[in-house]
Amino acid sequence: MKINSIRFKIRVLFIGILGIILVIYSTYLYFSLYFTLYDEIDDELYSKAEEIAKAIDLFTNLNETHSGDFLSKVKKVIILEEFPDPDEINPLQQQWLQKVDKLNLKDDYIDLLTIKGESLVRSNNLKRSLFFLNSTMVMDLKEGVPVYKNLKLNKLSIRAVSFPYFFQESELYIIQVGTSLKPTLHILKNRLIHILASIPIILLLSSLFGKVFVTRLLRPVFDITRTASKITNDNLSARVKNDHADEEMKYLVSAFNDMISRLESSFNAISDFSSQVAHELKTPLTIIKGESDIALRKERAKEEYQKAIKTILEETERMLKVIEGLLMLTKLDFPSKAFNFEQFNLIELLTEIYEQSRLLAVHKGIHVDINVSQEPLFISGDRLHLRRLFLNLIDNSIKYTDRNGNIRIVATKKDQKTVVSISDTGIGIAKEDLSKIFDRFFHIDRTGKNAVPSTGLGLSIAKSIVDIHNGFIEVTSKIGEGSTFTVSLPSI
Amino acid sequence: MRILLIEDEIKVANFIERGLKEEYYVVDVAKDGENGIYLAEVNVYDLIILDIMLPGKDGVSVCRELRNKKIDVPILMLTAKDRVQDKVLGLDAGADDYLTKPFAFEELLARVRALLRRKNKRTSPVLKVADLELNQLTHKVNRAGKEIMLTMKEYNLLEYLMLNANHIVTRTMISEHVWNESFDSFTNVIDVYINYLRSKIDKGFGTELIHTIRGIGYILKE
Repeated sequence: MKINSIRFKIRVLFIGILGIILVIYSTYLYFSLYFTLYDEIDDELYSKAEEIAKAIDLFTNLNETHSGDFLSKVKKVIILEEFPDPDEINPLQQQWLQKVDKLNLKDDYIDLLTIKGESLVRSNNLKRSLFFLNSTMVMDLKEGVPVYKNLKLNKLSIRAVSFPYFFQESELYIIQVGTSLKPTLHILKNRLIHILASIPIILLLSSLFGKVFVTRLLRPVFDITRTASKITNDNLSARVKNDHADEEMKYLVSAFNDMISRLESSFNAISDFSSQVAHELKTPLTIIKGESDIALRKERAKEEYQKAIKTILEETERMLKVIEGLLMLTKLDFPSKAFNFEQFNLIELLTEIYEQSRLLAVHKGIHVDINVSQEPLFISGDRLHLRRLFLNLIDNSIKYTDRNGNIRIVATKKDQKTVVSISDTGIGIAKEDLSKIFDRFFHIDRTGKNAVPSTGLGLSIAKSIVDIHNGFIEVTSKIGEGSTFTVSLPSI
Repeated sequence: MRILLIEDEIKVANFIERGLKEEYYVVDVAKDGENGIYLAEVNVYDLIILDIMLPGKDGVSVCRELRNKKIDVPILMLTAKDRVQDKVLGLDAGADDYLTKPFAFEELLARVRALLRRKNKRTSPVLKVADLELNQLTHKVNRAGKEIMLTMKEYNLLEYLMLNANHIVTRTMISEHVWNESFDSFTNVIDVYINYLRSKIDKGFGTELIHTIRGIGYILKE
């Protein structure tokens, strides 16, 4: 697995986050255990000190004597000495002994000190003071607040408390009780080992599961990669199977498939278009080449050469027209460069076109008339291209209208739209061809006397020009009666 | 040799027809697939030249339909499409050869000759019967080493007789292979041309090669 792969990154992130969470959680658990255990020990120490204080009170109250006897009483409590034989033990002492067993005081370290820190009585296992009191501790003690401290005694960890003991509610003594931390530390150590051992194991396991999971999750990506590498411009039929459960992947895969479909259809359109272009250009080339070949095969009469050259010239013209049309269409595909929009009166333009087309039509004996509104029709558009559009339409009408026919140009305003229609009394267009006449390279199958040379691009160019003006072009026609092309442009 | 040309581009059809006629072929032209199929069914052709891009029924369908109708005349396809799959499609539809536009006219002629040779199962362009020789490439005719000048129709007739040497050919067969659509079969044009041929080929060479089979037709043999 490569370092810069998503799989690797997701795994690292996954394990990293899991690791951090585990460490934080384990730390919290460890310390909460730590504090709980210490709190317990402190409570225990406190209650032990309290019991000792109570016992001292009881022992001293029993024999109302002066303070000289106080120490010997205390010794009885702390060191448990001077119990000559079990028969002489009074019930109080008996009770205390039982309590000492219960509280497990024999293993603890007990010390009775004056407030100045001088030890009065200490248990046998204690050779020196548990801890010395600094001034703040003394202040606390004077206010009756016990002081706790961790310390080492003979390399042994001890938790100790200094407990303020007011003898007969006036004289302040300090009872220090210390207990071994060994069992507590043992528990904490065990817990720490468990935690330290379990984190790597958990991380390792989740890394393995993560790998399987991430690989499954990213399977569509591999599918897409495989499919994408299969796709070439010759073969766009490959699709990714969309059987993935994850919604996002479903969207991704279907978006990918849709993209390929769109590419396929546009590739097909381009391929169809270029084969049409090839056909449109190859036909005149075939004629030029064929005519030349035949003319040069042997000596011929002057008229035959003239005829061949005339044909060649005609076909050259046809090729030029196709190429010009194609260049025009290419320009129209990027309208911003080719177009120069301005506001002008369409009536002026149509009148100019009318004058021009009258001259063109008169050769064929076709009558052209114009019927436009008296008021100016202002539109926003490119004069040159709109001129080309209307001349194209009129040119077509002249081409397909017989001698003595009529062509009529009508311009009106209708619902915020300027509507120009050009009608002729020509041969008309068959119903099944009407939807296709604006397609590039569409030729109506006409043979015999109706065959009119055409590039098949004129109406396609007209439609592109209308589209760029946000307009609309439509055609109605009837075979033998004529056609009407209607152009609607937005008025201003 | 009679050829059917199915081509919708008038100018393309025009020059191919002229060029083939100059090479002593008899040519009929159909402007669309339907008409082409009709002509191929009613007439007997030695070769069909078929354009792929036709209005209405396209060339590939025409080719398939001709083959389905058991018309096994060699078909040479013409097209502007030059992708491999177009060629494969055309050849799989039953065409025998494929030529892309624009083409050199000499290549078209060479392919026509090759297809006709294959159809007649011959390898040489020279036809020979006894001491009479006809060269299909140069269109020269010799008998006993002496060149004989023939008109186009005479040449077509002699070529057909020589291709079927030692076999009887009927007047119908001659009309089908030597004349084109505009031929009127009720005239005695065939007999007239046979007589022209006889006077040029047999007269003054001793043995007669063209024999009349009364009531049936003619045979060319030693």
